[in-house]
Amino acid sequence: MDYSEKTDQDLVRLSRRGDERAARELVHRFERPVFSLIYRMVRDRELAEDLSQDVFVRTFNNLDRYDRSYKFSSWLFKIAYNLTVDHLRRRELPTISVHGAPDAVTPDRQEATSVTLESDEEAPDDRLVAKELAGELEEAISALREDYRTAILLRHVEGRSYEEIAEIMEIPLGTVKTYIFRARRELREALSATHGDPDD
Amino acid sequence: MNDPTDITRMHLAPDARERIGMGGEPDAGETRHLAGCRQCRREVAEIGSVQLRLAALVSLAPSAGFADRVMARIQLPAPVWVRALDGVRANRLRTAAVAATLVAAVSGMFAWLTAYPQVTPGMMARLIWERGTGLLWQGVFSAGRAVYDSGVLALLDAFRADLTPWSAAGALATLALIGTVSLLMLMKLMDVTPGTIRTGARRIG
Repeated sequence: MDYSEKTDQDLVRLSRRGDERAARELVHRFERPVFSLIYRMVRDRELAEDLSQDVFVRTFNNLDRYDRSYKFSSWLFKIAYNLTVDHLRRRELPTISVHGAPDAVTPDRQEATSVTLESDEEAPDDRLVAKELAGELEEAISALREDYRTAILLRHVEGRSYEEIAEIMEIPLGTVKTYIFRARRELREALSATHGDPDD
Repeated sequence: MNDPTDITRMHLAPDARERIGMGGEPDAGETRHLAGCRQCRREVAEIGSVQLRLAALVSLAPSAGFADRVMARIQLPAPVWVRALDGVRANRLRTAAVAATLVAAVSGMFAWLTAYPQVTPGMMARLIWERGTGLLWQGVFSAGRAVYDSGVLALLDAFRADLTPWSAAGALATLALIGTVSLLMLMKLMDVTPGTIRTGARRIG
C-alpha cells in the first residue's frame, strides 16, 4: 500500500486504527511546515525540535478528539500554535511591534501601546540563531509580534486561508486581516529601511 | 469635473487587493481602477512583494531521525487483531466456552452428515431454517399470550375509558421525563459533553 498517495483524512483514519505506517507518513508530511513555523516563532532550533515533537505526540495521543469536519492540517497547526504560544508566554519573551496593540485605532493609542524594536532581553544565542536563519527578511519576521508573525507565516508561507488562520489562532476573521495587514506593513518598512523602497 | 458615480474613483476592496496581490487576475473594472489609482497599485504591489519574498523562504527541516523520535513517544490504539487477541486473553473462560460450543456444533453436524449420507447440506440448512423460524414464531406467540394473560391490555382499556385531559397531560409529562433521563444516561455512557457538541474540538496543547 502506497501511503504517500493517501489523503490526510485517510491517514488519520488508519492511524486511529493503530496503523503505525500511516502515522509515520503524517509525521513526514508535516514535520517541515510545523518545525518551520515553530522555529520562526521561538528562534531556537533545539527548543523548536522539542516543541515540534510535543505537537505530534499530543496530536496522535488525542486523535480520538479530532473532528473530521476540520482539515487535519488546521488542527495540527492549531496545536502547534497553542503549544508554542503557551511556551513563549511562560518564558515571557518580549513582544515587539512598531504599530502598537492590534486594537489601537487612533494614532495616540498606537503610540501609547507601541514598544521599541530593540530588546535588551534577547539573548546573544537568539541573535545568532536569527543570523543563522539568513537574511534581513528572516530578521524582519523575527522582529514582528508573535501573533502578527504567526498570521503572516500561515498566510504567505503555508498558504492558509483567512478562515483557517482564524480557526488556528482562535481569533475573529477581522482580527486576522488586521494582523496580516500590519505585519505586511511592518515587514515592508523594515526591509525598505535597509534597501530603500523599490516602488518609490 | 469628476463624476461621483465613477466606480474607478472608489478604492479596491481589501479582499480584491489581496487577491490581485497574491497573483489573481484583476477584472476589467479593477484593471481600469488600478491604472488610475496610485494608492491601490502600491497596496497590490506591497502584497505581491511580501508574497514573493515569503514564498521563497526556506522550508526548515528538523534534525535527522525526528520521525523516529516522535514514533517512539506516541501511543496509537492497537490494531484490530491485537485487540481481538487481548480480548481472548482477558476472557479466557468465555472464549473457551464459545470455542467448545462451536466445535461441538460443527462436529455434531459433520457426524450426522457422515452417518446419513442421504442428508445433503442443503436439506440440513432448510431443516435448521424451518426449526429456527418455527421456534421464533412460537416465542412471539407465547409472549403475546403472556401479555394478554397478565391483564395489561385490560388495564390499558380501563385507562382509555377514564382518560381526561389532566391524566393525558400527566402521562405525557411522565413520558417526557423518562425520555430525558434516558437521553442523559445515554450521553453519560457515551461520554458526550456539551462542550464537544458545541465546538466539535477541545483545546489541546
